[in-house]
Amino acid sequence: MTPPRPSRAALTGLRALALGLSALAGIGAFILFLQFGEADGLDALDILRAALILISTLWLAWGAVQAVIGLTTTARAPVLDRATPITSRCVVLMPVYNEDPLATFSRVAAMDASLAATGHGAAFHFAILSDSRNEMVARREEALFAHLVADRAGLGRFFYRRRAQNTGKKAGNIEDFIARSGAAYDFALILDADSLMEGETIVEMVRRMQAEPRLGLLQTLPRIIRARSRFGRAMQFSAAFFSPVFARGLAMMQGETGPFWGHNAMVRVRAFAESCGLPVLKGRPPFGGHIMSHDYVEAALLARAGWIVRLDDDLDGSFEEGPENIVDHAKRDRRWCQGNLQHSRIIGAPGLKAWSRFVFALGIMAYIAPLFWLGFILASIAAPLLAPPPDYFPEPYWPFPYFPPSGASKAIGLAIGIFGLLLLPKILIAARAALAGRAAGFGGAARAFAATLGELVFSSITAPVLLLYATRSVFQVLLGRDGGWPTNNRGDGRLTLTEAFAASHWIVSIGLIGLFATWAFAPGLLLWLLPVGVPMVLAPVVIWWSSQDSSGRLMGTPTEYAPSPVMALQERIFDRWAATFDAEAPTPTLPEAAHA
Amino acid sequence: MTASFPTVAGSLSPADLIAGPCALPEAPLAMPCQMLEPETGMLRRILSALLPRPHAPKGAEG
Repeated sequence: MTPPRPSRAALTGLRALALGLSALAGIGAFILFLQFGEADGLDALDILRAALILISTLWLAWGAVQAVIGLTTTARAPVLDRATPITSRCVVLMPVYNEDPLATFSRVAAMDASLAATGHGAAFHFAILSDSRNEMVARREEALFAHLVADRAGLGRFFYRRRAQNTGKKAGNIEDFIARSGAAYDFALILDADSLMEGETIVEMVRRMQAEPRLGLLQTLPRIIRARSRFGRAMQFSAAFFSPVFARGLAMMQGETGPFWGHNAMVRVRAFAESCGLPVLKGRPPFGGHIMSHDYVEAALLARAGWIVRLDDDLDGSFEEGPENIVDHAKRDRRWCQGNLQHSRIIGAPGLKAWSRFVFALGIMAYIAPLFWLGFILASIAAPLLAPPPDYFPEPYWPFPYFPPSGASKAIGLAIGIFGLLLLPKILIAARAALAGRAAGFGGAARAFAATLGELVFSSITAPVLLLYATRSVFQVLLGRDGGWPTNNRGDGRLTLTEAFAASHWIVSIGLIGLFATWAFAPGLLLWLLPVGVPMVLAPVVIWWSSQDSSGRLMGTPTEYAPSPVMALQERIFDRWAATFDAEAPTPTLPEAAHA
Repeated sequence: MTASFPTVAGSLSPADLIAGPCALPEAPLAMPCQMLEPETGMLRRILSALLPRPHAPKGAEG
C-alpha cells in the first residue's frame, strides 16, 4: 500500500493557507512600514522601501510557514509487504567528473557491500559514468575501476564508460546511458560522486517503486556527512536538524508533484526516457544552451507526463557531502543561481503543472531575494538625503514648535516581526526535537538547543557575506556571463587568510563604503546596519575562520555520534585501497579547483 | 601502477576490462526530446494571433 495522499481539495486548501499566511505577513510588514514612513511624510522612496519589505517578508514567511506545517506531522513509511521479492532490474548510476576516484569508487564498493548484506546484492548493477576531462584522473579511474571489480567480484555487475565529449554535462551523461543501456533496467538510482546510501534504503526504494506503478521518481532527503570545518559542520547540523522539518512541510504541500534534486533519487527508467529528454534552449548561455539545473526540469516533465514524483522524507540512510568553506559554497551557488535563473525560460513551457511552475518561481526567488534586501538597505541609506527637512512650525504664527510623532515603535515592531520569522522556526524545531526525543541523536536536548543558538549566531555572521556572493552571481547571470561547470572541491577545504582575502576583498570594499555612506548620510541607521556591515568588512576573517577544522562538540549530528554502517564500511575500504594506491600514485591535483 | 594490483579475469588490463566485459550493456532506449519552448517567439505568436489570416482555399465541391 502506498502512503495515503491528501485529497485534491485538502492539498489546495493547505497550499492556499500557506500562501495566505505568507501574504498576510508580507502585507502586515508593508502596512507597518508605511505607517513608520508616514510619521515624517510619505515619499516615493518610502513606498519603494515598503514594497521591497513586502516581497522580502513574503519570502521569509513562506519559509517559516513551511517549517510550521512540517512540525505538525511526522514522516511515516508506507505500509508495504516487505517479503515481496525484488523482481526488478536495477542499476546504480554514479556520474563522475574529475573527482578523486579513490573516494568515489570506495563509495560504490561500500554501497555494494551494504546491498550484499541485505541479501539482494545480485539484483543491482553499478555503472560509473565518467565525464572526466583530466587524463590523469581518467587513467586513475580505469585502474581503480579494475580494482573495484576485483575487490567486489563485480564482473557482470559493474560497468564503466567514459564519454569522449561531455555534452549536456550531468543530464547529458545520464541521457547517454539511457539511450545506450536504458532498456536493460527498470529502475535507476541516480547518485552524485559524493553520494552514499545504505543498502537497506536502496532496497526499500525499489520496493516502493514496485508497489506504485505510477511512481516515476522517488527522492530521498540526503543528510550531509563528514564535514570537518566550522562552516561545513554548521551546514551539516542545519541539514540534519532543521532541513527534515522544512522538507516535511514541502512534502505535505507538493502532493504528487514532488522535487528532484539530481541525486540520491530513484527513477523508473521507462518514465524518465519517455518524459525527460531535454532540449537545448535557444540562444547562448547563461539563459540559452544546455539546461543547467536539469533536475527541477526533469521533475516537472515527469509530472507533466502524469507520473508521480515523490519525496519520501521518512527514508534514512541517504548521504552526501557538502562544501567545507564559504568560497566553495559560493562557487556551487553560482552554478545553481545560473540554473535557477535559466528556469525563467522554462516556467511557461506548455502543459506543466501549476505547482511545477510555482517551484520554478520559488527557485528564481531564492536567488533574487537578496537583491530585495540589498535594495532596501540602499534605499534606507539614501532616504535621509531625499527627505524634505522637518518643518517644526507648520502653522503660521504659531509660536511653539511641532515635533512629528516618532515612528520608532513601528520600526522596532517590524524588526521584531522579521527577526521572529527568521528565528522562530528554528527555535520551534529545537523545542519539538527536545519534546519528541529527536534531540537525543544530537547529544541531548541541552546540547541541541545550544547548537541551535550557535547556528543562529553563525548564520547571522555569514549571511551578509553570502548575500553579496549571491548578489554578484545574479548580476553576472543577468549580464550574460556563463559560469560554466567547475569541478566541486571535495577535499579538506581549509583556506589561508591570503586565499580568503583574495576571494573577498571586494566584499570588504563594499562593506567599508556602505558603513561610511551610512555614517555620512544616515547616521541614525548606523547601529542597525552594523550587524550587516561588520561581517562584510571582516569577510576574509569570517571566510578563513569558518574554513578551519572544528574541534568542538557543538553542532554534533547523529552521523557523528553514531556513524551509519555504510559510512564505516566506506572508511574501511577507502583506507585499505589508499594503502595500495596512494603509495604508488598520489591523488592528482585537479586543474579546475579554482576559487569563486 | 596498473600492473601491481589484481585484475579480473587474470590477463585483462583495466583498458581491456572497460572495453570488454565491463562496457555498458547494449540495450538502447529512445529518449525523445521534449518541447519546452514554442517554435516561434512570444512576439511572433501574439502578432500571428492578432493579424488576420488569408482564408484557406476550399476543396472542390461535388
